[in-house]
Formats: sequence, C-alpha cells, structure tokens
Amino acid sequence: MSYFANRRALLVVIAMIPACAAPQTPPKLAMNTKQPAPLAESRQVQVLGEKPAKPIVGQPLPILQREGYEGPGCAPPLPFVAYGPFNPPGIKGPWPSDEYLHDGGDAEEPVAVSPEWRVQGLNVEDTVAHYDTLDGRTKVEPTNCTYVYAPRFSSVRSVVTLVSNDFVDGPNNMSKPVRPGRFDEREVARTNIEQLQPIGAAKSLRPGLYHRDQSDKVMSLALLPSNAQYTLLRFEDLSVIRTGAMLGAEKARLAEAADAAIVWTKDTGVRVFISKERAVVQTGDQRAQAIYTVKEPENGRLRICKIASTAAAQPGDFVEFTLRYDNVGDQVLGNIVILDSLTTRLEFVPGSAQSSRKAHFMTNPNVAESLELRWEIDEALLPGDGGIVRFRCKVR
Amino acid sequence: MISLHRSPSIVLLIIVVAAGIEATSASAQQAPAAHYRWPSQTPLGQVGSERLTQGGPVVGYFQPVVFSSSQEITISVARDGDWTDATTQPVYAGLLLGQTYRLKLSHLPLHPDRECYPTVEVIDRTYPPPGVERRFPIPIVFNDDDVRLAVDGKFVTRVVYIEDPQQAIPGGQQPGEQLWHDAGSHANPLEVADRLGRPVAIVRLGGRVPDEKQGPDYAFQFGCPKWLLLIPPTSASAVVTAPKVIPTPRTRRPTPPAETN
Repeated sequence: MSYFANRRALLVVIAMIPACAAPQTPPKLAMNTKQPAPLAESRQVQVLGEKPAKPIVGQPLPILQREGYEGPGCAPPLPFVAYGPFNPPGIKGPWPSDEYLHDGGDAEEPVAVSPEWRVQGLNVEDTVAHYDTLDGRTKVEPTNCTYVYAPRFSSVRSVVTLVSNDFVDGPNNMSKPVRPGRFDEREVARTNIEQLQPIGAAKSLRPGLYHRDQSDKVMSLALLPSNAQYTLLRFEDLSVIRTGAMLGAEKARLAEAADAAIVWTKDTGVRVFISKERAVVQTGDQRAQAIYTVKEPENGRLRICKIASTAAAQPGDFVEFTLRYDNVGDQVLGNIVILDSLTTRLEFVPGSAQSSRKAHFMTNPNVAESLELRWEIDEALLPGDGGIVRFRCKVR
Repeated sequence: MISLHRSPSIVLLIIVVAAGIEATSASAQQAPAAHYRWPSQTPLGQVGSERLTQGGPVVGYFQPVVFSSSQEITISVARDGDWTDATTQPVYAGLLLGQTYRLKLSHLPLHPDRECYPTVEVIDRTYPPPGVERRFPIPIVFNDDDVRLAVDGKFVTRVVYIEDPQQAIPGGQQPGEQLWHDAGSHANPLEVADRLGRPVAIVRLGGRVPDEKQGPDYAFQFGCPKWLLLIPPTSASAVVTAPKVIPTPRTRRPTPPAETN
C-alpha cells in the first residue's frame, strides 16, 4: 500500500493506534470532546477556515498538504522573514531592550495546562501552543521570540518660576561677640561597648549546597580497600542509605558523603541503565540523591515558529505576525490550541485573524490592556502536516 | 634600592593605596547607570558629558534628532556663529552627545515680535538597526504651551525619554505626536524620566537671551558644536527591505503508518 495513496486507510490505521498501544487509557483525540476553560464574557469568537478569508498580504494562504510537504517546489515559501535582536559586530552588549517590542516565547513562569484545559502562566508577550498526544498527555510548546524595533518617545516637563529676591545682603550681627559655649562641660561616654555574643545558631547547610571540589588526592581516599566486606561501611551508616529516610541529624555527615560523590561523577561516576537504555540524571549530581530517567519517546511533537512582517515600526504602523506550526513527531496530534498574549503596545486589528485550517478564534483581554488571542484548531494534525495562522497588529 | 623588609611604612602605604583603588573600582562598578542623581540645576552639558565617561559607543556618534514645532513657529539652529535659515518644516539633525546646542524659535504665537532660544542636550543615544537611523530620530517638539511659558519668564525643562515597553502607557500615539506629562515644579524631571524609561535628551526653554545690540555671540551658542543636517527620510528609504530567504529542505521524513493485516 502506498503511503500517500489511500488517505482513508491511513486514518483508519491512526485510529487504531491508541486501541493497540494503550488500551487502559481512552484516547483523547476525539476532537472537541472536552470543553475548553471558560473565558471572560468580553471575548470574541470567530470561526476561521470555513470561508476563505481575505488574505493580508495579497496572496492566498498556503494550505500545507501532506503531498507537498517535502517535495521540491511544492511548499510555498513564507512571505515573511524572521528577525532577531540587533547585535552589531564588534560591540559588546547587552543592548537596550527598551527600543524593541518582544513577542513570543514563554518567559518567566512556564505555561501549564490543567486537565480541564485551563491555561496557567501565560504572561504578557508569551506565545505558546498546547496539544494532546495519543497517550493522553497535554504538552506545551512555546514559539520563538520575535523582535520589532519600535521605540516610543515620551517626555516629562517641569516648569520653574523665578521669584523676586528682596533679601538684602549685608553685615549682620557683626558686633555680637562670639565666645565658646560650654567650654568647661565635660562630656561623658554615651556608648557602652558591649561584648557581642551569638544571638542564634547558624543555619546548617543542606547537602545540596556543598559544591566544593576536591583534588585528585582526595579521590584516592575514596577508593575502597581490596578486602572490602559486603557490609555497610562506616561512611555508609546513614539512614538515607539504610532505609532511604532523610534525617536532619545526618545532614553534616551526608554533606561530606555528597562531596565525595561529586568527585566520582566527574569521569568515573556511576552509569545508570534502565531497560538497557542509558539514563540521564534528572535532578543534578550536586546532591546526595539523584533521579534517573530514560529519554521519552518522540511520539508527539509540535514545532511552532513565529515571525513578524517587519523589523522596525513606528507608532501607528501595522505589523503582521505569522505562526507556523508543524507536526514533527511520528504520531497524530489533536486539540491544538495556539495562544498569544500581546504586549501593551500591540493593538490587535479586529478581523485580521486568519487560519489555514478550520479553527475557532477567540480574543480575551489580558492584564496589559491588550488582547490574548486564541486559536482552537478543529482538525487533528497528521505527522508531517502543518498550518499557519496570521494576524495583524497596530503599534501603539 | 628600598628594601621592603626594612621599610614597613612603605608596605603599609602600598596596602592602603591598593585598598583605596579597589574600593574606588568597586564603587564605580556598583554605581547605577542613572542620571537622576543630577539635580535639575545641573550646568548645561554636564549630564551628557558624564554619559560619555560611562563608556559605550557614544563618543563621536551623531544621534539623529528631529526638531518640530506647532503652527507657525520657525526653527533655526546655531551654526558657525550664525543661525540657519528659519523653517517651519521639521529639521532632521545629527547631534553629538554631551554637547549643548542653541536654537532660535521665531514667529511665536501671540508674540510675533519676540524670540525664544531653547537649548538641546543629547544625553544618550539609540541603537536602531542599520539603515533606519533617520527613520527613528529623537523627536524634539516645541509646542505652544512651552513657548508661551518661556516668553512669560518661566523656565521650562523637558526631558525626552524612551518608554520602557513593560511600563508603557496603553494609549495610542499617532505619528508626529509625543506623549508627555507634567512632573511639577518641585520634581526633578530627569529623575522622573529615569524611572519611566531611559532619558535621551534634555530641552530647556526660557532664561538667557542674546544682547540686543551685539547679537548672539559665540559663547551664547556654546561654541557652535558640530552637527549634521540630515536629509528627511522618504517613504522609499524608510521601508525596511527584508532579505530573501532560501527555504531549507526538510530532513525529517514523516514516519509511514504500520501495515495492517
């Protein structure tokens, strides 16, 4: 069976995947079976994709199809160009960021999606997409950050008035004799020097705070003697070693053990394998305990990219943004939601939102007195497929 | 040759000097790059000169500015001991940081026979992308209210600053306009502007006028520092041309579905 010949058969195969892979968890790819989190009443809902919207830049939206995804000359080039921050060569930064408008990415608090599709951590200037995978996970993928040079100048005024000066400068009280006052007064000590005493015990450091490195000579001290017995050694006599329980009284001794462990993790550290697969440390090796995990399978990944139509704009100019999302994994993705929280100086132009796929578009005011844009893609995204959403903003 | 073992006082002196140098450098590193420590009565040119000592690509840079006025006020800029031709059109100029430039405003509203001589001091520069420097000059706007106050004997100090996008006012701004607010007579406008953004220019109106008989002298024009007369940006040159992008071929091939029985 050809890969691209029978699309219906492909969908049947994809529909059978969750039943075979994870029978105990119901598939979450039945589109729009869950209701999204309620938004404010002032939101605006618009269905995109049912009718071909009027193009922004004079050409129709490129509908990305599977057949043309990799072939030469089939994928139309994007009409815009991505720009980065201004970094002139030969001059060190950082450059003043107050002259650029930032939009995109996931700064500060990371965006998280609850099982009820309630999005948390979407700050101003953030642009993310969250989607569901076949195994029931909800992932969040941020976009890149776009920069638009758009400085806005303001001014502060201060008005000072001169007042007529009627003061007459002249000798005053020149005949007044000046004598020392209270010359014979003996000053007494007004400060008692007390011997300082400790007012409290210093806080004991956690084992994780020990970052002291040791030399090779110390490494040799950690070598076990050749006649070691299969019993707990003296430095192993810790509750965390014996029973796994962390006791506060053992912190100091545990810190010393952690230092030795750090030395061992340089070159001759412990290698952990889980199911014949090399595991990577999850919480760092600077503490006594460490969590080892294996690499997750890349069964569902969404790549989303954001670009702007211009690199510089003045107040009053229009800037068009394009978000391109692609399924770069090997399984179908569903419930794709694209969120973009605009910054204060970007004003969304009503009616300018477009989508190459059928989607529901909504707006919601954000804390920056701008809008939070939301696209809910109705269709599932097959591996290798992608889509485009566009919108236009006015620079305030 | 002085032996250090025999001269403990010299060793002590070296230690004291080294500690002083270390303390000085540490305090210089900790000093914030702010201007508001200067009072509003700072002599002309001192804030910009201090900015030059802070380093960066500011020495010898001609910062584009545009002088504009409302209604029929004409603008002239001091040059070579004289004034340029008065014009009501916006004047695009490149000014040096740390220098003080004298301007002349004529045809003032309600006072057509009087003139005003403001000063402009650029205290920081902008960093626009190459090719659009003239498109994003620092706007110096002389409005009727400022001129009227200056003619009435008031001292008007206006600090132009770049808004911090994180603290920007949500209101819109039309091309040619400039948002501003009054800091009050007892507030330091430089300090207020530094809290709201990054001050880039100080404009002062009112005060000295040239001698009526002798006319403007060289000292009145602050030595006529060099400046560049820039060509106003046209619509064609203001357009940012985007470079061509060659679409990169995709290396990841979609995984074909499993064969069914």
